[in-house]
Amino acid sequence: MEKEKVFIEVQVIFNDVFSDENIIITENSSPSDIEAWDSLQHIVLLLTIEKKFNIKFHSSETQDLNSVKLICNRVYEKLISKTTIVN
Amino acid sequence: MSETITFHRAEANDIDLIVDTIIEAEKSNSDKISFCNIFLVSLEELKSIFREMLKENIQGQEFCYSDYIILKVNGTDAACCSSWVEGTQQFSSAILKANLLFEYFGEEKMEKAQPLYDSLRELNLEREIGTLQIVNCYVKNTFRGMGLASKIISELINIQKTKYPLLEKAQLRITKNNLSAKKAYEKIGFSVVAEKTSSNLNLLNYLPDISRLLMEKRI
Repeated sequence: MEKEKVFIEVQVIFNDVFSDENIIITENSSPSDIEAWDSLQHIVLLLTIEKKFNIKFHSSETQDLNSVKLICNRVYEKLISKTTIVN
Repeated sequence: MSETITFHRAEANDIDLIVDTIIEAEKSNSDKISFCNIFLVSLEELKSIFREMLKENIQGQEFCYSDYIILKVNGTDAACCSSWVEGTQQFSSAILKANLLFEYFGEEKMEKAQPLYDSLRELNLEREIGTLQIVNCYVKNTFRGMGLASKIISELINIQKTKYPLLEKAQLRITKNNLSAKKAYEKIGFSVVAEKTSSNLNLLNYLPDISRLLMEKRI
């Protein structure tokens, strides 16, 4: 999957998790920009992203997943790494 | 005979004391430990998870041992409390804490607890950026009635005001059932400024109360 497609999927996840079609994320979006992005929603976001992309965030990674950019980059890295292993 | 009161910043070897402090503060005048009930872990498992979270020492949230200070009476640990200034770290305390919970409780427990999240969110009292956050203030039973909560909070405020002279407000949260804590905080100048109540009475099976109060004080 291309990086842009990861971002688009993450946008859909945000709309779904926050039950708000009007939320438009950018790479720079972070909890300080999205009011509803609180601790519990953050946990739901991570759980939903793991399921959607069929990936697992390792314990050492979660402290870095604090913005859309960081989340998308980490998802993309994991998908690339999965593809490489399959190939 | 007068008591000798001293303060010291918590270190890694104080983690067990801090774990007990967090758990006692969590009980909030009840026998319910919300983390055990929500994430279905035993008390021993919870202590072990808290120890690991505290070892990370991530500043700006309640699971950071070096944000705690300990009050000793005649050399004995008597009270413990944590504070930080919201917004001084790159991310909010809520997100820092959420990542730690995700990491150390694990996704399976997080997922099982998910049906409760909407109700729990109703109790969310947002931490205001630029305010001093005071959390997990606990005085051991044998040292109660000596005004130690007031002393340790005053010490924390002094420390943080020295570091951040522009600080104007301190905030803390309590469950509404904890009348003794409310009274103690009112005595030192805090007043209730907001209240949140969950519509889900079932939460009483998990938490000490379904109403939470936000208290503030000008500093």
